[in-house]
Amino acid sequence: MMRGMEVAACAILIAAFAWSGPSAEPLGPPIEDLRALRTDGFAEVADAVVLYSGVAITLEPDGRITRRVRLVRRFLTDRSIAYLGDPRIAYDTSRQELEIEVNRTFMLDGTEVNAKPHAFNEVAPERLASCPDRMKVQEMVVSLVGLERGCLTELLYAVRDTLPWRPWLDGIETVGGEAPVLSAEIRIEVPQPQALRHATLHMQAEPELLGPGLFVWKMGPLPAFPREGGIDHASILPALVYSTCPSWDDAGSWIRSRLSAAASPDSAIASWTEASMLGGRPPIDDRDRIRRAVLLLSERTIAAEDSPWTLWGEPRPAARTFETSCGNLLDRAALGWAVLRQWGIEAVPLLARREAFVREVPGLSQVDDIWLRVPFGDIAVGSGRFGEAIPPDEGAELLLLGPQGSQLLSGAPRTSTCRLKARLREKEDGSVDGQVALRVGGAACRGLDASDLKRFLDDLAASVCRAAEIASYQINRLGPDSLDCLLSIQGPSLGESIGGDRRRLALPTLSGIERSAWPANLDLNRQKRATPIRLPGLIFEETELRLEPLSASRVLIAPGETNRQGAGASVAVQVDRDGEAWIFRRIFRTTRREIEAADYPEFKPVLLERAGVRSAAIYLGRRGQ
Amino acid sequence: MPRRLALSSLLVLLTLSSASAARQAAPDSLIQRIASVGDSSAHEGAAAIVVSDRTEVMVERTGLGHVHRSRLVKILSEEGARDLATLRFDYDPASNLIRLDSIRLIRADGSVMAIDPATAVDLPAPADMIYWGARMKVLSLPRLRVGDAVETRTYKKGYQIAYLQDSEPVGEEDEERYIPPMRGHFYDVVTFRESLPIAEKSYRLQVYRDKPIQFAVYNGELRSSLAFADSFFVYAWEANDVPAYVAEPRSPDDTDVLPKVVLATVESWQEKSRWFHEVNEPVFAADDGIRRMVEQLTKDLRSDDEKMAALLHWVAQEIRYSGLSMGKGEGYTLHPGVMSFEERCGVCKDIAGMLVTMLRAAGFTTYPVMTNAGSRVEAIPADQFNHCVVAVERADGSFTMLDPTWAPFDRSVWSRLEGEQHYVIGSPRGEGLTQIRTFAPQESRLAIDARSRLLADGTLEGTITLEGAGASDSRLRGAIGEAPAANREAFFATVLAPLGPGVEITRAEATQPRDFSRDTRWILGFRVPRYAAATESILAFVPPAVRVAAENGRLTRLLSFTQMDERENEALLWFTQEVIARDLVEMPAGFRVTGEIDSVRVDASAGSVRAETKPSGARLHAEVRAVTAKRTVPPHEWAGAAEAADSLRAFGRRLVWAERGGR
Repeated sequence: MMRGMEVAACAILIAAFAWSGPSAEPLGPPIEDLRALRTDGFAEVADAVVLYSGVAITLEPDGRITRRVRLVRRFLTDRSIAYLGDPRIAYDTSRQELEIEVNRTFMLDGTEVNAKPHAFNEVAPERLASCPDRMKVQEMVVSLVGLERGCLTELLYAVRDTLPWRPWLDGIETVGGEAPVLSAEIRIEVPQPQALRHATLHMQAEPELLGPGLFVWKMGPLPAFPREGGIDHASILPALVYSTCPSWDDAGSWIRSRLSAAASPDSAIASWTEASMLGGRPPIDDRDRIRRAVLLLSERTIAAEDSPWTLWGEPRPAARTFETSCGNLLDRAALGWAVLRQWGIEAVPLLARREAFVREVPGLSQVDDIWLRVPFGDIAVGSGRFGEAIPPDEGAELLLLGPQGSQLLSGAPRTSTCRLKARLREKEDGSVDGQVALRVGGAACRGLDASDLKRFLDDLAASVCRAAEIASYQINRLGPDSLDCLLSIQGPSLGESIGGDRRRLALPTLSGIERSAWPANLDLNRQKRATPIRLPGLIFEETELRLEPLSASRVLIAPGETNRQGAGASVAVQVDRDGEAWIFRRIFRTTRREIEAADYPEFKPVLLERAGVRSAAIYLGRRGQ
Repeated sequence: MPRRLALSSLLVLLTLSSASAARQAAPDSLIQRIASVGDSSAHEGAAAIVVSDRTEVMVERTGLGHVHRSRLVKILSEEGARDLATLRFDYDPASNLIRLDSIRLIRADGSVMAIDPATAVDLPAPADMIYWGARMKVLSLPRLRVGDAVETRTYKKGYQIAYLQDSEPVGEEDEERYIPPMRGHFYDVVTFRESLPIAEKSYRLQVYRDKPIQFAVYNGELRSSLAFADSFFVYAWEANDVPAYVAEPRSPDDTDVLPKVVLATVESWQEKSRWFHEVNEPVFAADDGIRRMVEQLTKDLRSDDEKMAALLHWVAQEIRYSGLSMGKGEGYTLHPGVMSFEERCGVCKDIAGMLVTMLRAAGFTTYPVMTNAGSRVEAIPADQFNHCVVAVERADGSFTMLDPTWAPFDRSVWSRLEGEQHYVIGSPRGEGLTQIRTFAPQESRLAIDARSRLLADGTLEGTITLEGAGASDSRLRGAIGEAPAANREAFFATVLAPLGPGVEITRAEATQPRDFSRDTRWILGFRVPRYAAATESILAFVPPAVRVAAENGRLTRLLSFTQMDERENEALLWFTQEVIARDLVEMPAGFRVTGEIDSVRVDASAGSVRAETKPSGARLHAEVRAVTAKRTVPPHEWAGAAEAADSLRAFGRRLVWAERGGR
């Protein structure tokens, strides 16, 4: 009785957005069965356990969609209580309603605590707070009450469309994450005769057909996927991709027509396109104009993030986005297109995905970014970057939205090459003269910020010889795929030229290139991993450093050669003498992009050797220093 | 009748204000005013400049304040144009109201565009951890350009809840809800500097003559005046040409460094104390469930200190920080203990309320306490509190202070991060403003003890023990208690990361984070291949405990000090600390450590370091003592401590040499 009263109170609270439809069917096992499940031992490896995760998606004949979710978890650690206690449910208040059916906790002593109305609080997503036009998306914070270690929580809610606003059903349901899942279920019901296309990612599961158009996938148990860095966490989680969209061409033409209609320049945009560059000079050519468009989108327009509904919404007219200096991905793409049109530069929009599209399931939910293909390169609207073919990852794919139809394109290969050769000579006063030659090619070059080349060159000089300054430089080639430059540098001392901050040999690694060639947050302190590492592309590096000290007696080095290889990577480090000079060489390469967790123990030593940690050559300096 | 009189006065004020605004809005004078502040060349690095920021406040006898504010901001850069494109006014409908009276855009060419305030949308405000129904009014401006200026005129009434101090009021309903909970009284804390340069700022306050204010100006100078106007006192404060404020590393709260006026009609802290006691007294009743829990937690304990600690740690660990609104009284009254006990969540005041309830159930004389975590409470009895804690009155009349909100994974019943903090206990007799004592560095000692041996190929292996007290205990304990279950092994490796990314953890023992009976202790076995530079006859290395102490800024507070050209304001380091790192490194057979005793010593008032390596045949002894001596560091003392920190960093890179057969 108590529970009924509490839930009724919740319903009153959320009456403004709750749908008073018929009672929905039960989703998943009875709570008593789930409460009886044992989770002993999980606390050592996970902060929480998902006892049941269920999603039921219904496409009505008129196009409205209902998504009903039931999540039953056991909280095992203090951390789970701190981080999972206030889940948020996002919904579009202008065309969806949210009904929270159950929010309760079973404490260890069996006490059942039901959330009172004040545990439901609607808030604006901070990521939208600077764009009033886009603030129809709100978040309901559902505070779980009565939490303690070992408690069980049950949350059951539904988000329903109040009117049809999507041309088809299209989505990705992720199953699991950092917590292991004991059982999971996804139900999708579509009206006949619509066809549902579907595919699973990172799991094996076939649907049962329980009736006409009613598909049910049952999964579990699924392991935990801890966040370990070195890979996009979302890209390794088990997921179901589904859609009723008939073809990629349909998906492409639907979004293109909406974008195109919104991408009309008005007088304000026209006036802006005629204005000068920030530096006061007029744009010299189309490359200059495109660079200006990129700055407009990335630095002068605030990005509002309203995924996962971004592509389904109506793009605002470019004039409105320009006027208000803010917009979501769709808005900014339309603005960029409008600006380019005003200049007479015809752009072709592309939809981009970090991974490969699931080709057999056409749908917009797989899209991560919108690009505008223009002469000389592509503008990535989401990241605000410009360059020629700048796929965020090898294996990424693009859906080109041409006027004659859509076409799926593979992203460009991401092989990176970096050749660095440096020579440092000690002078009588202890300072150093040096020459540095650098050639970078492929994806590594695309990671460079060409608009801030000076900083890159300064970093290059400093990475070869700490605190060195550039005396002169020469750029032989600078393009989207290659950089060839020569530097003359001057440094304070040879003792600062090698070994980083611990005077341990660490041949230069260039941060601008590292950003592009290596995955984020790759933590080599780990001794083992549960998840794979995924490199953005293949890597080849060749580094040579020649040191010419005045007196070799100052150098403590063990000449020799070290070779390591494993898990698709190899490194060779060599230390030689050439008269009074010391020569360090390192060649590093990878032959595959994905390193499985089981291969990590082989892969890690190769990377450590590359970092100089286990290299044969060691310290430089006078004794006692 | 008094209210009617006040409203009449307000109408007069409004009329005068409007008339005044109309005069000031004459295009020529307005344009001249905007032009007079100059452009970006006169304000290097500023995205915009506040041409004027004028606030006029009329206080009713109830304490209700009517606030009219006019603010004119000129855009100096594209960044400023982007940042001002959306105007946002936050408010808490439960306690305050804001009305957007007018918004005008004055273009660089002199044209004026009136923006309809009704275009603002009223929505729930973003919130995190405190969900009390805050709202906001937001509107987009027409595209802004460099040289444009934005003028906003707002009216607000009501009062601010301390937690929501940054927000501005909105909403419009019955008057009663806007009257401050301490009825008849008014207070404010007004800062006169911000992230933008200010050409002119003023704050004018009108109160009844029989409700005068006491005030003081801090952190700088302001022009001030007091005038008589009929039955009112009119106070005013002004500042001109105030440079933009750029926070320095480790800056304390803005209110501790920015020029400000603190004002209040309350006569004394004792009066505030009594009010706080009375308004919260009804919420501390325990039910059977609470009494059973208290009995269960304290039944085997003898001393009062043990019982207090047991109850504090239970509340700290079991009542999570998440603020739900209980409706009327939210923000300044504590949630009933039975509510927090059932829901197991709340903000600091509710967590404190839970502890007061349990302590009272255990027989202790206990009161809730107002305090400010992280910044000063000035002597003027204006509400300057952002935090709530607990005081237990002892038989001798003294108080023991407890803070359950800052105690999760902290052995101390009062966090060592909260030294020197001001507080006011809410008691029936009324207490004054008091301050927590200064904590000595030794109370947060961290001992790092490494015993290791080098192999001839340079590999180092051994055991390192870390034991922390006070703030150091909290750091170690919290790190494990809050680390993802799947990542604890990697976490230990991170602690020893200064030994190189190749470090291998061979053994890890750690005090259970919920074991509050002793200080936290970790024992980590480690192995670092080729740690030392090695040839056939020579080894060169840095002792591992020295290196960890000299490079891990999470462990060694002294490393917070970094070189700066010049420091303008004080720094807040939160806690003092003493780190003692000791090494005993054994050489491989046939090797002896060479060289003499190597030492460094830097003593400064805010921080010091003493370090030494001492060869002893085939062994090396090393010791570092790094002290952070002050929680709050005056600007002139920063450089000395930074020198000590640099010396520690340098010592952590200094090589020790060993030679085969060496002497």
